[in-house]
Amino acid sequence: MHMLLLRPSEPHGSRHEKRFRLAWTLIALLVLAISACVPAAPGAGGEGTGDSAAPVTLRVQTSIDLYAENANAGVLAMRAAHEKFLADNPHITIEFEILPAFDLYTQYLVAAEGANAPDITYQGAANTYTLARSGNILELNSYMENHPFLNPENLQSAILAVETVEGNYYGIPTTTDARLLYFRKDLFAEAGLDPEQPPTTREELIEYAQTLTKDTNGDGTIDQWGYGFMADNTLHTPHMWLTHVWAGGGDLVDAEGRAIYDSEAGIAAAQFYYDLVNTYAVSPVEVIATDYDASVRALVAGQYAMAVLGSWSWPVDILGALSEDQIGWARIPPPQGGQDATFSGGWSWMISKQSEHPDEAWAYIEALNGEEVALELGKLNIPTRQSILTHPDIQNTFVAEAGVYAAAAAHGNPQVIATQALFDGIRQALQDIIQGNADPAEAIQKAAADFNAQYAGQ
Amino acid sequence: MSLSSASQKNAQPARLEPRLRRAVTYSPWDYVWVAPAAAFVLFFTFYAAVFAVRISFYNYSLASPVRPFVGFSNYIQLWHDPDYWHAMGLSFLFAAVDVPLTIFIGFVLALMLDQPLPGRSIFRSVLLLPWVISMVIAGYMLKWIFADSTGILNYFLTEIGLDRVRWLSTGWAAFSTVVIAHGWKVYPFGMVILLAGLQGVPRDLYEAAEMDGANAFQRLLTITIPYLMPQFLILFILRTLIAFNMVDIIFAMTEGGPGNATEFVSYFMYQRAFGYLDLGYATAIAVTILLVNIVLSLVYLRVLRNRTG
Repeated sequence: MHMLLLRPSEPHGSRHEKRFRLAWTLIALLVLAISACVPAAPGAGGEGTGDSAAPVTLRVQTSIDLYAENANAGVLAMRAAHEKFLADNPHITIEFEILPAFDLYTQYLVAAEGANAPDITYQGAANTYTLARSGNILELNSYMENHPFLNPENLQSAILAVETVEGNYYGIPTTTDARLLYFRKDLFAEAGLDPEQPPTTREELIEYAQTLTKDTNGDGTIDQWGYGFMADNTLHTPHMWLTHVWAGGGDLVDAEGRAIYDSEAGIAAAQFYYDLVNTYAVSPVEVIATDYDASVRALVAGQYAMAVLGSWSWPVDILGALSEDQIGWARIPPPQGGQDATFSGGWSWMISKQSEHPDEAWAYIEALNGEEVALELGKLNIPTRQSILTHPDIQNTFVAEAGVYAAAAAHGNPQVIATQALFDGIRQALQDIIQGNADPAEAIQKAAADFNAQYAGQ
Repeated sequence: MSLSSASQKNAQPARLEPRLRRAVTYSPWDYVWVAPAAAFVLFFTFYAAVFAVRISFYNYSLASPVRPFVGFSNYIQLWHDPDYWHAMGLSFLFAAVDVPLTIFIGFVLALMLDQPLPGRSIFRSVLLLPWVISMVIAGYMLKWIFADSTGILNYFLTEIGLDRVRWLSTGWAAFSTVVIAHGWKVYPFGMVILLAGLQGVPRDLYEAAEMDGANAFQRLLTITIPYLMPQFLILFILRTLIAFNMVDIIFAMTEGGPGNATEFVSYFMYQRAFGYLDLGYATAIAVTILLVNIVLSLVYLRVLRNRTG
């Protein structure tokens, strides 16, 4: 290390110092040269756009690997549609960028920031509003209106509301979902409850949960909780809690983007969470550190007799481990006098505003979302299209029944830019409430007030 | 030769022999060979840092094409943000606990591995294993181990008659769990650095000290530790920088929870940048982290260099 710190032995202003300056000048010029080589905006000096036969490359950013080894029937249908599209359009090349689902949003924004956005992106429906308001995605009105299948009228109302921003449509949703109450029929029977009669009100849910909460092995600690719910640091926490707010007649934000969840319904929902853990002791305080996958495992293992989880878990995670004799699903029980409510999310295909080939991009999205593909996807999770929901192949299946529930009771993501801030405030308040560190009403009111002070109206 | 004079003589800074100094000449081609690496560093660190500082003076959101200049507004907001101060306080606390703890563990293990013990090479390999696992994998693995209801650690505790601990759902326990997890992951780094340093300590000093009647503890204090001061300096600086810039293990284990009990300042910055999409505010946070790192590094340099004389 000392050798590296030794200065040159020649005096100041010498030949060596001149070479020293020359070398650093060369380095600085090299940096500038590298900066100048940064790629320009996509399409600059590239393919022509007027002639449809000219070669076109579409960059598609998605979490779906069409050629994954364990592809389900929906992905296989998409793969077939993809290959047919390539065969029908030999001048179009598709380049995939496969990313983890949770990374898609950030990666797309950063790429767009660098004028390097892909032509097509697959995004959570929750991000539609922010992407649209920030001018990063193309409105699809001219493509969707009057389309025989992908028209807005054929979409379920909750998902249509999410994909519509200021009267314009921005995404083609593949599937949607709902939050459901799952209940262990076998544990119901053991506790003397009717396994075919899940609770229908919040009050009944508490009553059932008290019966189902027990120390099964006599060691003095509860190992079967009557009810499990999400309260960790992920978005599942506010999504699940909001179902109880809506069920009580409340809402998350108003038309001006102000938080209004500190209403009577919101405070009641917060009090409900407090009571589950602290008053009735039917849920463990550990819910604040139990992620979604752990919650599913807890339900499957019988640590939770009931739990509110996503519809996407039913076909594989739940029925892969339990039979329909052991577990059932139901609507999330509203409070007495309340209304059915659930949260719906989903994923959508969108076209970048930076795309030089929007028509070709739309043609590809159209191919990937044809009726056959939508039908296969709709067998796995709730279909977004009314015509698929009523298809004979879907009737009397889980997705049809859950889809009917979602169509009637679903609410989607709020249309505010500062969604993360909104949900962070709710999450933190709920965790403080569950741990008994805050009064439910005060915590919820403070969270809403803090959000409104900084973000309201954005 | 007495113990003190022996250690002082060998504690003098190294001087380059004249013949060796003459062999170290500089040619312009040296700079050309270094140029690509230097350009990479200049562009991806210096330029990136300058750009980051610049956008900290703007209301720069990825969710909005309108990005006005706001001067010091982000910094003023930061000053008044209790969540920021909470996060910064947590990071200081973490650094105060994690840095000396991991260096101490690394030092103890290095001392043990420096002894001619049977099976030393096997122990060395085993002790290095945590270092080769990626931080994210380690975080997810340890999250499973520490899980409150289903974790194997609580299973063993209940099997031996102890109560289950809410490792990840209690604020102080989650913080401690992150310290333990991070310490387990990074102690090999200090161990390797210090072991290399130990092997450079002249053995005749220990012999001379032993002849002078110094016991093992005295030899440790007067020979080993002073000789390892440069390594300790490097470790303190690097470990502190890492403590203030840690995001991966938080992301994998706790996501800043429960509540904000493990929302260290780097994770807080990450959330503001990629959750809230507020790059202006996030880069203001980054600038404050940089300043803290610079100040702490200078403090270490002054304190530890004074101790090395």
